[in-house]
Amino acid sequence: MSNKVQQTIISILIYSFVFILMMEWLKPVIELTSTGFLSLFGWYLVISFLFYLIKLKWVYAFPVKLVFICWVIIHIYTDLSFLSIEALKFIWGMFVGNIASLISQDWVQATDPFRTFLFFILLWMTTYLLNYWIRVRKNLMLFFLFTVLFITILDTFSPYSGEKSIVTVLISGFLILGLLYAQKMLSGHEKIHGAFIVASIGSLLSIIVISSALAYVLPKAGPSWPDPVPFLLSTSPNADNREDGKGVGGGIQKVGYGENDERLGGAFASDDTPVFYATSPTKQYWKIETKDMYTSKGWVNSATEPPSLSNYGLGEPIQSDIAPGTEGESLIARIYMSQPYPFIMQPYGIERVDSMEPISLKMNERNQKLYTFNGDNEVPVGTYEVTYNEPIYSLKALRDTAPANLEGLSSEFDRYLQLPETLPSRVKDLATSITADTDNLYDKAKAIERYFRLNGFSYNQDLAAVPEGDTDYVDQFLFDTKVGYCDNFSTSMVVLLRSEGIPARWVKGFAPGDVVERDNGVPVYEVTNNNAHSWVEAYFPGTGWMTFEPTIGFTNAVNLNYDIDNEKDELETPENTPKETPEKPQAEKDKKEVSKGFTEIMSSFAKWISNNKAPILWTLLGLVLLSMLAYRYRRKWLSKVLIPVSRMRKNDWDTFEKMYHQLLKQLDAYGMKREQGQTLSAYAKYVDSGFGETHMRKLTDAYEKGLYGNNREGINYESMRESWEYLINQLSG
Amino acid sequence: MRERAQIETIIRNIEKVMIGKKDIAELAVVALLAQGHVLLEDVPGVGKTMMVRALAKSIGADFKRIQFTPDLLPSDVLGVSIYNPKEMEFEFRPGPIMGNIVLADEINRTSPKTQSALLEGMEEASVTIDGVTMPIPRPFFVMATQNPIEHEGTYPLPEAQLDRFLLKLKMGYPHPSEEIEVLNRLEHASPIDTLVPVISLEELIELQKKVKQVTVDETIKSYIVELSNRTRQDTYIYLGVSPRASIALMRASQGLALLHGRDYVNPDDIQYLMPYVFGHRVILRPEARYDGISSEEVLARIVKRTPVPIKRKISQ
Repeated sequence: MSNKVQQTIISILIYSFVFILMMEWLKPVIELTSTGFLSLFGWYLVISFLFYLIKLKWVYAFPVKLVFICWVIIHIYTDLSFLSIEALKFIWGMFVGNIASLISQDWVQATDPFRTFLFFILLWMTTYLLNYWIRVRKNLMLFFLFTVLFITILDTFSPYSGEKSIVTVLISGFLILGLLYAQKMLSGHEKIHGAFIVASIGSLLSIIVISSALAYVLPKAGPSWPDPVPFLLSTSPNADNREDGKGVGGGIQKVGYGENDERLGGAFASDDTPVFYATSPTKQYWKIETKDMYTSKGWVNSATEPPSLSNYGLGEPIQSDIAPGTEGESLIARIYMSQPYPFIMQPYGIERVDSMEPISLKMNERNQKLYTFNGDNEVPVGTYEVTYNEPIYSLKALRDTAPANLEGLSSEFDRYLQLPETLPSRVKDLATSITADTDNLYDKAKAIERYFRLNGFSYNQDLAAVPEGDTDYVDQFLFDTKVGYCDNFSTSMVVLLRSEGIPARWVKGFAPGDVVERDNGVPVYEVTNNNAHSWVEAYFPGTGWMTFEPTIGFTNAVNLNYDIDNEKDELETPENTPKETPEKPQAEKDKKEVSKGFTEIMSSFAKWISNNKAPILWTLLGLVLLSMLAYRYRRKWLSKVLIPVSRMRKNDWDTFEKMYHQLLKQLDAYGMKREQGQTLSAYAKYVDSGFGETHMRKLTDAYEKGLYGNNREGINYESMRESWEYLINQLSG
Repeated sequence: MRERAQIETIIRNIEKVMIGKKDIAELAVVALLAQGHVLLEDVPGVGKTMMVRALAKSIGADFKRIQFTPDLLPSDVLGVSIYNPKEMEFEFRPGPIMGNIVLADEINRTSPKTQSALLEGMEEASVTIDGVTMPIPRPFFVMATQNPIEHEGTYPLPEAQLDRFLLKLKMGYPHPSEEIEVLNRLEHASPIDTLVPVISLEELIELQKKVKQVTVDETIKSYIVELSNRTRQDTYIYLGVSPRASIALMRASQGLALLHGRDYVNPDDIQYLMPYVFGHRVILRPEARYDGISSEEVLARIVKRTPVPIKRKISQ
């Protein structure tokens, strides 16, 4: 095999594996944004890499790629035939309309086709960069590392499961690194035997294949670390009292939807039995019912009057107290129940329910539960379709609701402001302090929602306490345990909202679940008992009910219309929430224990290490990463260190010599290489020609005088220092 | 620095008659200051003689010229003892070598015997005739010219004798614009006649003493030795330079440093002078000729690959 053929084969392999790596980037992006059409983006990558592989001139590659992008946009967003005039008009219109909004920095106005176009441009740049790394730098380590990081971070912090992709990524990553090295050898001037290349690539392949196969077949121990996010949060000092809660009360419960919420708390065992499957174009929270009366231990329905039921037939518009949105088209979710529940899983903005089954619907106006009936009997429903249109809230209107607006509320809302008599006053004080810096109701609610994320609370299903005796469930969570699951967070938020006079209710239902497959491009979510969830609805006069998600680790983005003025847009700045620091008896305890013996300290230190292995490892990993970054970008900050450090030294020859060599090093790192046979003065001339001054010449003259002429007294070190600092600053500028 | 000003005046004086040859003039002065001799290799008529005469005139030195021919005898160079019947004894008639500045023109046209007579005189700075040794007056500076050896009717100088020259220089043709300037200056008179001495011989001797006081740091010395060593190990070089060449390079660089008004030698001096000092002292292997590589290129490669000392050595 000639060298050229070998190089081509290696190139093909490299580009194929890079394609696989890129696909691992695309997959989660497509999934998490529920974009669909992964294959079209994949084909785009194929085309791009193919062109780079055959080194197609850009004059040919550019139009082809552009046409492909346009075709994809037409294909996804319209029914037009690609070669029609209308299609051309559509593309033209897209550019004209969106470029105007781009110029006015009106990002939200950008239409979906244009966003898709921008995403393609991003892909284009990425592939270009990858090609540069492959062809010119012949090094893809950075990209590989980032891919691994990306997948692991997504896997840890998002619903995306990177189990399979991490394997693909690692295998293809190592292969690419090996292949690039082989290519480097081939393109080097050294003559290499073809057999050597074949053997080395062959052995590389077989090592990776054998080790992956072995790894796959061999039994694997379970993870020795808990999932890092909740674990890290739970090891924070605020979660100290968690031991108290464990095992107290009703033992370990099974997670899932249940009717009785009178006594909340206690550990949960996870249960991944599917409850239903939802084919839904959007990620939805599935609401079942709300509860309005907090008993200091849990939730019940206030039953002062009999429930008022309104009847709906299939297909009839349902009057919910949260009106559906009016913008855009209504969407349809199809629900396949696996558990026999006699009620409807309601997405927000529900409009109507359809089903082939002979059922009718009854809505309990008091708790918004939508029962399914056959005649007069509650019957479980199997399959049904829910039409919905997610409500959109005007941020301006929300921000305009002052606390004064609450005064005109009718007595209907009294039950949403109910609080138990026994609620400790410190809960109310906390609510006041959290919302102190805000002036409108929406920002108050947001401040409360954010409070948990910023103040050392953590999510854990096993460590949630059960309040005993007179202990209030919310009070215990807010001030003592600070660890729990959705019920703790949502109940606490409702109580805090009510303390501030904002009507609020506790919502039960299911979180969106995980995408398990796709039905004609529409994701199918599997919702299991583990997804049983509770969250919060708050009422704002003028706007109505709106959801909030205080639970750490969950997000439920409400559609907001950002129709506010720009200068008021400080929604996301968290400074507004005052940090409540509960008293720490721990600190005093520590003080008493200062006079311990040395061995005791050592043993407690060892114990501390063994107890905190995971956080220590994570910290170390972070430090390593930080130092790598610091090293990579050392030019940016080195001058800030070098100059003050050098200023602390005396003005003498030794310092000057050190400084001069430091400068040579920095120049070298900057890219101004000195040949080994180049004299300092010749180099100085070169350096000065780069910076347009004569500082290097001046320094070098003085240095040479001192080094070769042994004349070290006559040097004006003060002025040398000025030139040196000038150059060092130039280098890091 | 006074020395620098003095040297500058000499060079400026030479430049009055030599146009566009400042570097050659400088190198000639460096050789003069370092008490070495110069071999000028070039075709006839590019101003070799003019340069030496200008140099001699500038320092008010006694200028002698020897035109070497194949039939020239050693005594024609060194001088001869002639019997004086009136005084009844031999009387020494000094030859042309007994001058301050001697131009030995076309040295490779004469027989090796005569060549070696000259070169011995150059090395010893004295001549021995009939058992009597006579010192040559100081300063003593020989500038020998030779036609490129390919020309016919030449006796190439043996390598051992080439070693006696501190520097080997090449004049080269002037740039057309410079050549026009030469014509302009010579149109009505010869400027060489108008030259007057700018320093005295005593001052020159003083300068020669100053050269020896120029500092050569240990790092520079080891750099010189390293360069010499590498000529001995280079694959293209059959015979590397001798320790005498190392001494020559050091001395010459001392002269150059003084010319630049420095009291110490730096690596630039070494790098600049190395081809002129080593060029005629190395013998290339035939391979170099086959590969079309000149000694200048070989030496330039050595300079490029030898690390310049930029740091004090840790105490040895």
